[in-house]
Amino acid sequence: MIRWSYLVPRLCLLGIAAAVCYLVLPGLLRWSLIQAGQRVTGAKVEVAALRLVPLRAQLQLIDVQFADPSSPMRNLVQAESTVLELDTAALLRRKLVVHEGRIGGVRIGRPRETSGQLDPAQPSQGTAATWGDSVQEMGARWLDRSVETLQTDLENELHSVRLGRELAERWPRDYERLEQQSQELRSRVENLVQLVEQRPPNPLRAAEAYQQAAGELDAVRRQSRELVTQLEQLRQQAALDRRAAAEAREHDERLLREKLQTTQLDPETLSRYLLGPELQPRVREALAWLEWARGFVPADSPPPTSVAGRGMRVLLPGLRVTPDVQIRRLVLDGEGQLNQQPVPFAGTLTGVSSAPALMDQPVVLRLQSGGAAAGKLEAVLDRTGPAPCDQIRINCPGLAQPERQLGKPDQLAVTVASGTVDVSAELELVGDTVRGTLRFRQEPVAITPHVKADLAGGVLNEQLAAAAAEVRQVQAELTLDGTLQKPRWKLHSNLGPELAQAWNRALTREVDQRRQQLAERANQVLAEQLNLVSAELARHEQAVREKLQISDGEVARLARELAERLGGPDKLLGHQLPLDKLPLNKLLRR
Amino acid sequence: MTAFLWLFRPLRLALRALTTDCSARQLALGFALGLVIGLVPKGNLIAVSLTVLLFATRVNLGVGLLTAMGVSALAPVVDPLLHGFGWKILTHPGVQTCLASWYERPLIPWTDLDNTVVAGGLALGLVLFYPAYHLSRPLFERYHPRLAAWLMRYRVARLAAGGTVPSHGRAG
Repeated sequence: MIRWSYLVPRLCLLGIAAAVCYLVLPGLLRWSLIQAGQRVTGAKVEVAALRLVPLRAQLQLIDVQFADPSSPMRNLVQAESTVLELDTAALLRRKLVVHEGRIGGVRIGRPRETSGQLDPAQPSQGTAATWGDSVQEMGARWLDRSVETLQTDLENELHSVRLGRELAERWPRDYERLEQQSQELRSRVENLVQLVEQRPPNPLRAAEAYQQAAGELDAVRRQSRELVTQLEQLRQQAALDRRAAAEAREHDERLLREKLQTTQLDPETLSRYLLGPELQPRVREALAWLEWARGFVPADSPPPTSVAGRGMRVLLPGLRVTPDVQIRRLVLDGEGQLNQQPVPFAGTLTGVSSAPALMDQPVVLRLQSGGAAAGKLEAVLDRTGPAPCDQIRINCPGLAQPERQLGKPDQLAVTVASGTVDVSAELELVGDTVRGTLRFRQEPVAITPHVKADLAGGVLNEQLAAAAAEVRQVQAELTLDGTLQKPRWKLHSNLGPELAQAWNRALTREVDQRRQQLAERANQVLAEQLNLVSAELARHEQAVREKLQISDGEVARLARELAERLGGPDKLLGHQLPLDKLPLNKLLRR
Repeated sequence: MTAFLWLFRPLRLALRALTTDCSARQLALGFALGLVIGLVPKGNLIAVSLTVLLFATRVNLGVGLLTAMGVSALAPVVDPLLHGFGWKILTHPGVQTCLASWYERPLIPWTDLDNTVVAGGLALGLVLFYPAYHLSRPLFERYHPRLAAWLMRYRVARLAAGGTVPSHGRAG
């Protein structure tokens, strides 16, 4: 029945098809790998070449690059060469199992030549986690309050100063007015004298002139009385101004007490202000990695697949369901970067699969780094329990740190000299709940504080420098809890308390000094003005009175002369001349 | 001309199958095997094995391929039936135990026998194999010579069958 003549050519054809498959399969596998990678990362995945070595059941990948979805011009990770040893027995059972693999030349965070964004129209993804508050904002708020306290221009708000200025303007004006009036009075008296002494030859004219002089004399006497009254009023005003000055002093004392209050710096706030910006990004980065790993290592087991969309798979009892793709062990070596310094690392990755929930062991990444950041990293991504559990443990006992500045140079900053830092971190993400600790210790350490130039004039710099000189080590512990989307954190450090004490002491002293200066200045301005007012008042009063006395003398003399000439001496004094009743005949005879 | 022949190769095969001298038994076996292949979803070891069997045995290839293509085209219509049939088979405790032990062995997972449509299609195909053969054989015995003679009257059929084309156009 076997049709050999038919079968042999077709077997040959099958062989040719297998050969074509062998040639086409790498391309197909490469395409599948890129598509699967891009689906997981959400950014471009590139594989320069893929080779299949059937005899050794080996898959070789050259230059694999995974773009960073949050930073498209950088690679999340790239590897020069990847060799995967496939398990042929598993292949016969329809499972792609890599029992041993080696990834060499791994590079993390390297720049790309082209954008790794899949759809340029879509914006780059960022970390969605929102932190309760920004450390820099918190620190800055407190510092701004302190700076505001020290820089407030209170002089213009002081009533004493304002009153002093007002007195300095008002009193000279009043003196001048009085002077002018007294001078005017004097001129009027002189004119009267001249008028009376002229003695017009025509009796009728003389009578008119004397009548006019008598009227003028009356006006002069009234003006003289007014001037005396005004002088009295000024004296009373001076007394009122002294009372106002006393009230202004009281008001200013109250104002200075209110406005120049020192805000005592909370040591924890200062720690957050100084160390928060340094530690927070590291924790944020670690959380971003955990979040990324969550997507990469899904918690749910995949649903039973159908065959080309037809029918459904029936789970057979007693048959252990295992993932279709497994990587049992991968040996890694490569190089990362920390503070622009290369950090070589090597390690293993075990338990990777397409369905981690079906595995009986977690995905474990163990790395050991050398160079400037010698240390250990262990990441465990466990999907075997009811809730996904991810852990990261990092221990770098001798991390080389360059000189760095903590805080904001335009406010308050601390320069920490270069040295080695002991960093350890433990982060755990169970379900959506995150908790962890990041510890940081640098010893010995040399720190130099810098205060904003506007504030540095006082004792602040001096006090802070003295406190900083006492600091032998900087240690910090950042504890984290909350959820992945909204983590909460607390920071404890020795740096904050040590500097905060010095800062508070210096700030209190500075503020007290400033309050005293302002009070003294207000008193001084007011006292000067009041003294000046008193002296000027006395001087001007004296001058005015002298002029008034002269005028009064002249007025009296003129009154007498006029009385003599008009023959009614008593009536002329203080009254308008009664011309209608004057003995005009007698007057005309003269 | 070569390109034209290559393009119409399936038609040629079908015409040749119907016009060449082959037994009704071969035609009936081709039809039955094509029916089984058509009922089983492609892309698994069972479909591949059945196709290899079709090519490797002295059954009529043209009839087998035509039947497989025709039945495959009707697959979406019969899928619910196959799924229900497969579900009944695969949920039977005896079958499950047996299949579970098979699935531990190499190559068996490539058969997709745990899929309801594959299991149902294969089972139904095997059930229908003999009836299809038995019922189609007399029909082929009776109608194949007549059909071949009728087809050979046309130049296209003779051309497709690989025969020479007389100058006067129509053969007897």
